[in-house]
Amino acid sequence: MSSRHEVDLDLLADYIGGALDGTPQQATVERLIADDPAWARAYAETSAAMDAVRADLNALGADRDRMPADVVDRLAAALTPVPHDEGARVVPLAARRQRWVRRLAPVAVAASLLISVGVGAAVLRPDGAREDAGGAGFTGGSGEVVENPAPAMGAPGAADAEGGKPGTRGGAGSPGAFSERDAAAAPPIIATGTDYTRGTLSQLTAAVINARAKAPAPPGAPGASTRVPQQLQRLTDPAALSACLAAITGTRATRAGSVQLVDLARFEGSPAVVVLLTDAVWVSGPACGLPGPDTRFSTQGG
Amino acid sequence: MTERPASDEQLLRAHAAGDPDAFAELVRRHRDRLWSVALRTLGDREEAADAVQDALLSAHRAAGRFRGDSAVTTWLHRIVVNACLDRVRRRQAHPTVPLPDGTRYPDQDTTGVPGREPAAPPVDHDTALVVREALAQLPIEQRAALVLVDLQGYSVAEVAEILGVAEGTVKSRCARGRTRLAVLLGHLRPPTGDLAHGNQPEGRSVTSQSAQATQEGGR
Repeated sequence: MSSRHEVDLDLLADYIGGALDGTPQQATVERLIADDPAWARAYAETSAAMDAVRADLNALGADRDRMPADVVDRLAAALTPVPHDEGARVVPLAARRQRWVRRLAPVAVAASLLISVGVGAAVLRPDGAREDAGGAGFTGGSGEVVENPAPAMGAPGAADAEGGKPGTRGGAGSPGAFSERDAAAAPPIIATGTDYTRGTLSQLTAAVINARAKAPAPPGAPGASTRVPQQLQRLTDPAALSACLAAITGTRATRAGSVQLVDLARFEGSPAVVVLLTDAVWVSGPACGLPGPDTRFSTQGG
Repeated sequence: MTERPASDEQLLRAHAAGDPDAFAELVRRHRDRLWSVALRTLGDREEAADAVQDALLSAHRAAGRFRGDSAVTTWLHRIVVNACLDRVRRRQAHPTVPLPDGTRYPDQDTTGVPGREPAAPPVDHDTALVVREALAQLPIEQRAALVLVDLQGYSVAEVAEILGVAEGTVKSRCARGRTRLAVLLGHLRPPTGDLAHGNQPEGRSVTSQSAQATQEGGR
């Protein structure tokens, strides 16, 4: 016996699931089930099948997941340095200058530590003497430098919950503040210890790198500098890294502000400077900046 | 030492007021459920870890703007689910090739998570694995609704609040998702058309789409 109306499985599912309750379609589907054997048969089969699926899903849900220990640790590390005031803490300039000295002697490039690196003509100034060349990613105005330990986080989905735009870079409005361009020319430098591959590089974003970054170790504490491969220690010197980035950006003939993030890490097992640019990811070897970029790989095929 | 606030909302308020330990306690309370939602929704351990971290960092920053219109746990779930949905949508907008070394998808025995793109039908008879893989084939909107309702046990009303949609929409997504799963899991004969492919989360016919429109507009 042929059906007068082809069974619409979606509509039938909606009916069985209660999505049509109180709508005109509810009565329509009820009539079809009562009058049309094909709809009646489909209703019986689909109802039973959906019950079976619900049982499968309930069983799957009963197998409770616990957040793995490594994810717990990573989360704790990511949250620990972030203060409550919208993820940024205000650091007086004088204190910041002193901290530069501590951190850069002898060497301490820690994950999530923002280091002022001017790309191209700008030069790293750890003494803070040239703040307008990019001292940190943020500015709070009034001579305050705002340091954000979790830079460039995309905060996906959070805008819905917060009614705002979290994850966007703030700052730059008051006299003496960094311009957007300057802020873009001050990439954070991290040392995640990640061993990247060509495949993982294709998925790389600042948020991904930051998500992998471990907690910043206190200045001088073990762990921070040890995540920087030995062969890359030279590049923890601001001038050396600046030369490296200049070599990379010079190769690509791009503007200075294209560097988003630098990870002193590994690539396919070898120490490598992984540079996230606005439109590509660049991988250079330990000889980066001596004087060329020592290119190992680029997502642009460079 | 300060006394620990008892409720989630008190913890969130304390965090916003500067208590350095309050947010960690809040996370400790809810991290397993949030993790489970992210893991089941994304089907990938690393993606889930990234999503949860991004979401909780956002919540950490936005705590001061929490208005108390919903429960804190609902608020947290909303942020995590939105982070997951955004990731899937970005992935769909910018697809990447599967990784040759497999490092992105850890071994299933240790993570309990299947790869996002199973290369072949499951060779064993592990029901949970089969269900997880079928779930991963659903449109993300249906998957997220089913994870929250059928796996996590939230009510339709709670899920509607988490997802920011009408209750009727949650019911529809769950029902259609269950029907697709029924086909994928062999509980239901495959219909004609592309239902099992799951490319149209809100329906595939004029009739059903008009029904959906009725639900959206009438609730």
